[in-house]
Amino acid sequence: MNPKRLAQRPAVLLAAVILGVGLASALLSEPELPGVARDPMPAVDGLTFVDHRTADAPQEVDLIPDPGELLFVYFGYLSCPDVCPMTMSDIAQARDAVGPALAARTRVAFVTVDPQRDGPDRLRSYLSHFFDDDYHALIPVDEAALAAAADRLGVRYEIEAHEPGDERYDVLHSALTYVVDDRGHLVRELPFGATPDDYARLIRALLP
Amino acid sequence: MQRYRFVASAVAVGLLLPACSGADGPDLTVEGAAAVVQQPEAAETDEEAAILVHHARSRMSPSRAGVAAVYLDLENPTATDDVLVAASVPEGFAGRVEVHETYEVDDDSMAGDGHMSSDGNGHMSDDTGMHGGSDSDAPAMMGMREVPGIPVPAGSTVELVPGGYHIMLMDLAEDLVTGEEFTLTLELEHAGAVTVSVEVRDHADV
Repeated sequence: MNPKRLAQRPAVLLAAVILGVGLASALLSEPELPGVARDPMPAVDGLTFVDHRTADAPQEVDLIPDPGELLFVYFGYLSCPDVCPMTMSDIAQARDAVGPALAARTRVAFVTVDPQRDGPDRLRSYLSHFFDDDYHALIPVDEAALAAAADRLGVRYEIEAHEPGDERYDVLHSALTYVVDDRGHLVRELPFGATPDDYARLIRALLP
Repeated sequence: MQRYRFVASAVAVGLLLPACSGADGPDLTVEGAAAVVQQPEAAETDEEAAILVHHARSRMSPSRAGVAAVYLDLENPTATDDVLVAASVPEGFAGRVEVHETYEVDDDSMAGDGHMSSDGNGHMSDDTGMHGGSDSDAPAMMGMREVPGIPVPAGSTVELVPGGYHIMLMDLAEDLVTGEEFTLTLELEHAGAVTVSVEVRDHADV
């Protein structure tokens, strides 16, 4: 099955060039941007997940946003009461802060590293608390897909060994937020603890 | 701001836990003589060991996640160090309540703990999943763990905030809904049981 690009609108070359130049100049002129950028920036193409945002129509997607948009990719799990909701809340607050026009050009893709417990319904319910219906609820196609994405982005996770059927186990995860641009490049990663203001500044800087 | 004050019985100076004297405790090295004199006096006149709890709040629990974290400030105005050792909620509200901390995994301490080899191939066996090596470029992993207690040194305020300590509610019978309140009982080593009302807040107000 061919993955459907998150980018569904026809890409306009000129817009892409303008965005690219804007991104480059924004990054060069703004050394104080929060988070870090890797050199070279990893490409996220070919990493596919199933998006369960729409209950009856799960879609295979990649991690590349529409032209002119940014995607915040987060690998977490729903049984996480502290770190994950704090990060989701911080991003939600940043989207509120930058205003509807910019917010509409950003979206969170939450990838569960705990598909055993995190089913589609719970993912949707969870994410809608933070982002209404404007999110991607991503469940890995299979373990290999999750591992491939983790390798590419540098995500680490560990699921505590447990008996089959046991729902009580701990999860460790590197709690970074990965910022992907419309070229499919990981342009920035923010550590746990980045503030809503950090996210807002990044959105303003990367979306001229 | 709601304020709850609870009073427990007197605490003898002999019960002071030296191990719990944090950086905020009495400075015994500077003007040590004065401190040594004052300390027993303060304890002897402290007939009530009180702990004040401020800002008890919880983030609404989204999506039948079944878990929630409670945050609050613990103020210890007494001359006696104290420790938050446990917490509980009314029967049937949550299956388990634990005193937790969010921590960053120290990879050195996990050596030989089944980390993946350097081939980098991710895998998840039937009941175990782990991914990512612990090389120097790899980001640290975050986790949660139960702690035996949260020290609340004499004369200090300890804040349980996102990313640090929290009281973890597990197996919640119902989702926590913004605007609701529930009862939480804290167990302190010296002050004893302290019952507070926890306000359920929207995610952005925690």
